[in-house]
Amino acid sequence: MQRNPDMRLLFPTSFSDACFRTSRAVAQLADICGIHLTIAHVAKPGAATIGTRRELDSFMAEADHYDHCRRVLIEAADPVEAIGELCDHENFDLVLAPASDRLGLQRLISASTRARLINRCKAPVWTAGKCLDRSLFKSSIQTIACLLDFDCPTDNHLRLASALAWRTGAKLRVVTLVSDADEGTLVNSLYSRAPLMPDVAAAQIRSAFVGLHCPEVDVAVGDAVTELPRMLSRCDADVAFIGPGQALGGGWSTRLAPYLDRLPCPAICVDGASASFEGWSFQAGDSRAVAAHGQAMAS
Amino acid sequence: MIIRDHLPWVRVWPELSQKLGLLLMFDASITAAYVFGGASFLSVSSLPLSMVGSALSIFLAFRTKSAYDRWWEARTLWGGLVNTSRTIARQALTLMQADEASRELAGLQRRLIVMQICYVHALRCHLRNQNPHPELRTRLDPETQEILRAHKNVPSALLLEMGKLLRTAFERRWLDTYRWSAMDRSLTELTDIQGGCERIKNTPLPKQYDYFPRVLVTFFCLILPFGLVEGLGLLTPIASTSLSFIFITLDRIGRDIETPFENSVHDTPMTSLSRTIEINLRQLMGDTHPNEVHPVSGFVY
Repeated sequence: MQRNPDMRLLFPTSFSDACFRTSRAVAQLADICGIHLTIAHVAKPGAATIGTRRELDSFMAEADHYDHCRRVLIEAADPVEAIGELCDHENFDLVLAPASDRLGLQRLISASTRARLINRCKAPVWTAGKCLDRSLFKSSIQTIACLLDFDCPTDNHLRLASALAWRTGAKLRVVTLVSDADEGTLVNSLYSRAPLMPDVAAAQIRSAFVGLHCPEVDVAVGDAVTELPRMLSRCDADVAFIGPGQALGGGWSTRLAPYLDRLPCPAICVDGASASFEGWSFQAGDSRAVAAHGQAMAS
Repeated sequence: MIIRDHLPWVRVWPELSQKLGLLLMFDASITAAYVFGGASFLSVSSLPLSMVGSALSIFLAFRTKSAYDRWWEARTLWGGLVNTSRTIARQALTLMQADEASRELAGLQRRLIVMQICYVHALRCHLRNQNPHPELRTRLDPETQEILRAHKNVPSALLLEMGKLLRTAFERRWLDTYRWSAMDRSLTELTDIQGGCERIKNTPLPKQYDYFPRVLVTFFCLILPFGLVEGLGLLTPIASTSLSFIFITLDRIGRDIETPFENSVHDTPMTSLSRTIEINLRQLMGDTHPNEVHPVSGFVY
């Protein structure tokens, strides 16, 4: 296991209960990868008082004893834009955003903060929904899942997944979904490169890794909301990488894909990520994985 | 632990507000069917309802008391931990003596107290299922860290290391038998405190206590409008939802506080307490110490 370079983590917090519970995930990453942690809080203009500063200093107090931890208090009207600007200035490798969105009626009419963060930040965004309470955040990451989409335009999420797997000594599993095929849905094949049969999808992925170390491949038939959580539970994934275009749902406001909060493990969404990924430490193995992924896409 | 005067519902009990919203709609539909739809068969006598309500209140009060006992015991155990930590630091600084000023003895005393600080933080992480190693890295030497990594129960391993330090002090004649025994008793107290915390953490309230109150409260809230609609008419939704609120809240309070080590706002404030212990012990050593932990949005973690 390699410890260097440390990952630069940005943890924007609203001091919510979910943010507090995320401290277990931060501790896990700090132990496994080594981190430079930045805890940021965005206060409304004129609201950044001494009391707010004190709250920020007291939030996740244990992080004071991590190798590197700093706290940033920002005054801004739009928290997402402020965090986005912070990401622009400093190349973070990962942004932590647990599910502490608005509840009740506000949730229906307002855009998801996490979805906006995924859109705005250049860095990958770590998020967790219901699994935040249940996930064990073990002392070592043993299985990393990567959701493969045959129509995905980039391979960043596979690169990151294989980099983390290499770095932590974890097993990489490629998971993919095939839609239920019937006469009505066959028209999808006109617009999608995804195979219609699970066996074909698995064979296509495996053939792309010929001559290379092939990760285990899991294919399920059905929609992501029901099948993806089941599949990730079956393979006991500790973290799942979600590629571009897969983390955000449709609709009139920016929203997360509905399956994301149902996953049994945290997800790392690489949607808008275009950062340098220095902290992820790409190695030769990652390049091979990427080459294989490209091959799979081309075929 | 919550210390603010006003509890924000959506923050403390998000599911409570959802449940009450659904009940209000249900009650309103029953009332509308009775008042405007002429469905007179929807009305039932309120006598059995009041009996069920009384029985349920006793059941819920008993359950809440049991849950509170667990919460209070957890807090008492952590209060004991604060006291024992101070005792160990005092004993380390006053009971260990060398014939002449010894740098080695001073080093051992410091090491013992730092290990006690680490023990408190490790116990907090252990109870919250959190990885303690990133916090210990800046406090302990790499050799001790490696030893601790081999253990699943890090606080226990730290107690063992502290016990070994005491034996070293005895072998170097910095402690006599009586003093060694007194200091070892303090370590035993720590073991007892940890055992108490683990017992609360690993032994939930009997599942019947959790399941039946929830089912009975839901059942009672659902039949409540049928007993009220004849007497209250259009006011039924408000009265029924208000009464339901009391029962649901009683049920919820019990469930929230029965698990004091579960990473929620209802937890024993272990982060704050462990920081207090660290400040106290570092002051005893004459070290600089970290700042106190203040409430965050009215919650102390």
